[in-house]
Amino acid sequence: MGPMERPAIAVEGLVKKFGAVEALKGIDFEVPPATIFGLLGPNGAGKTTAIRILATILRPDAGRAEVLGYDVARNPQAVRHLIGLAGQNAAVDPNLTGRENLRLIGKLAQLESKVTKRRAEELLARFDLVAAGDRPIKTYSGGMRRRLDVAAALVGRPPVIFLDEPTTGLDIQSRTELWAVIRELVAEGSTVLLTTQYLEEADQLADRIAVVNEGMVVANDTTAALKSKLGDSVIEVTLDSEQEAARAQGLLARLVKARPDREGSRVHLSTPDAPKVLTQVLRALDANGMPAAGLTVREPSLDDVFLALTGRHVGTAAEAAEAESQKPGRGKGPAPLSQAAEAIDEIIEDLELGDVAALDEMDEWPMVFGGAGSSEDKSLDRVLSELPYKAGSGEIVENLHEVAEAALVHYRMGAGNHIDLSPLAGYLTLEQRFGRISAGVSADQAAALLMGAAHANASGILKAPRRPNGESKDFARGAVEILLEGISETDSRIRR
Amino acid sequence: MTALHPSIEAVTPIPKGRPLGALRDSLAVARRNLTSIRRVPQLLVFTLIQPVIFVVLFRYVMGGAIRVPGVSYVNYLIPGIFIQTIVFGSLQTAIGMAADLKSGLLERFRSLPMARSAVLAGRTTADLARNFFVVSLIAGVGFLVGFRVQTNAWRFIAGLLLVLLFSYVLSWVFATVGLAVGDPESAQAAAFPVVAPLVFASSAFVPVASMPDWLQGFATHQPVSVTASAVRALMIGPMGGEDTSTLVLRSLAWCAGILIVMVPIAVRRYRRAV
Repeated sequence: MGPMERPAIAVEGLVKKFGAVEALKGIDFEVPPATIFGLLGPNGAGKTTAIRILATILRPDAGRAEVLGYDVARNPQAVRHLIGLAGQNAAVDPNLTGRENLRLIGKLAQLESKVTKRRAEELLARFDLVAAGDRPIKTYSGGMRRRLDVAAALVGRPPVIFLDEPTTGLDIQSRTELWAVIRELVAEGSTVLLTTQYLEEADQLADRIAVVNEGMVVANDTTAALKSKLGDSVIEVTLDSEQEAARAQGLLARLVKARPDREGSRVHLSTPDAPKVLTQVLRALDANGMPAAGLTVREPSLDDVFLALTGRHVGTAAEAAEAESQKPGRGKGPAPLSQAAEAIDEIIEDLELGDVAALDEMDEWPMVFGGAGSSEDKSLDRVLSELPYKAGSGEIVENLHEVAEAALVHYRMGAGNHIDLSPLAGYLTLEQRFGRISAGVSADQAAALLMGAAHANASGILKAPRRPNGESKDFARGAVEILLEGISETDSRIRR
Repeated sequence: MTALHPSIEAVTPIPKGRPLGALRDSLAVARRNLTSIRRVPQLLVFTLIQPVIFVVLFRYVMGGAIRVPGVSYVNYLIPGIFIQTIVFGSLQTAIGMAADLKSGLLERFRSLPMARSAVLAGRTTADLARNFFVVSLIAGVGFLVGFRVQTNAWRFIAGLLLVLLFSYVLSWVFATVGLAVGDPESAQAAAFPVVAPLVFASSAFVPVASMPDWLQGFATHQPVSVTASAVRALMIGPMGGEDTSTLVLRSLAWCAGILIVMVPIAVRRYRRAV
């Protein structure tokens, strides 16, 4: 951004309180024009509140927010002509068709009806919804619905676009497609402000990232600079014996540009380039007749970002703020999950600490998805694609234990806890039909649920019965309860 | 100054509010609400089944035991059924509004450069259209079971218009309830206990004079009762010494009073709803 150029979005000292809770404690950031800016933070960090203020839905208690030079509090109607909003809260009418929804938004965005019609057709084509254009939204799958939601934000060709967790709950393919669209928008000159809980998403898309925690910006930098602060990925290889590990350490020290440490039968490598080094490691071990018995890759996660920036783990106090900002009556929120949160954290921590011994002792893991290290191409993607999931039918629940197993197998195959479980989160939300596990399930929580389920399955707690279709909703509830039970059971087992 | 960034240039100057903008927006929202009603016809059907059950129940099952001095019970009953139908039907307004709030649709509307009044005006207008349809059908049912206008066609039409006006007033009340509650199921649960006593402790089905003394004061003067009596007076003539124009004026006063209080509250609620 040149010195003479004005930012497209400017936020200064923004404060928002909900009762006694300060959701925003004075945040500042600027977004240069025609760039993607990521607000990265956990649930309850204040991201949605910031977006809502910028979209003129909430009024700030203090501070200033401007969109293309217009103050959101003093000139909200002007701002509304310049923005498009999509994401977890901005919705479409389920009873209208895709086309009708887009036309309605166009009309309300004060476009002429000729322009509205043309834009609706353009957007249906762009988001691959032409065939579904005359179907009511309630017949759409989760991914289609989200695409239409984003399309609706673009009807008025807004120069500034707010996307509030646009890909939460989407499967990998839909998410990748949406990312491509977002990049196109910016190439065409739009400015995008995006919130996400996923470091990977911010990394993929954003030019700059502001990390938000408990209503404050704790870092604001280019994506590359932020990542370089985070340190390296850690690859951990477990071998059959200490002797072999020692051999492997020597071997790897020669072959790989990274210094391995050894701890018993495990060898650790720190590297900024995990994918490349991982390949080298596996080839080297294989060539020397030392197949890895276990493999873990840990990449910097959102929690690492916080740890690095604040010296603390992701806070939970802020969750209260978000709950407050959701206002009473806006849905129940994932209450059972929050109760299970502690147990989930424990499990994640144990898994992160590499305490897989407990897992290894469970010998009954079905090998249908390939055992440890047996087939690299069995990606989680493929595992999922093999599951007979039908959007919205609730059928996946019957296969939850299989998903859990798949996740665990994948974990043991070495993808580590950072593997992309957002599609699983999508599955778990079941198009949000669960009622009890709502859209708020993060990838990590989903991962933990699945891990917990896997544990529980192994210990015979999770007896996922097979049922005919039709009773899916009650059954889903039951399944979730069994899952949660499994988690707490697993938790106490691990602690013992 | 060097050139501003491209997307700023691409923006046409912020359009001034058009004089008919609010009307246009309201009609767009109303049309959307009517389309929704058309797509979920079950709702409308259930709205209609209930009054038909009431007609059958009171006309044929209980009607024989109810004596109203000076008129046949079916003529007494049908004006009350109009009122009962639109009062219970207004729960749909609360439910629809709460659903829009919960789904986040209102959040999107509020980020659009549309008239601030359009969502409420559109909703209440659509409900008025729905009630027009419902009231016409109930009139048909009424004539089928033996209801006959005792005054004249103009007074009957005036009675129907009063029913529709009252329904419009109620939809503002229940739009506010929907916004305040924010959840469709709760909206229904919250509204029913308020609505039921207003309908049953009223002159809709039986004369207030037949009720215990302690109830009569409330039952005579509450808006549902006043409007039911006014509609009845317009359709079958005055009863028990009450003058038709007094009743109609009282009903209009209630309507005006409720609108004056509820519209600002509803608008305020809408602006703060997230």
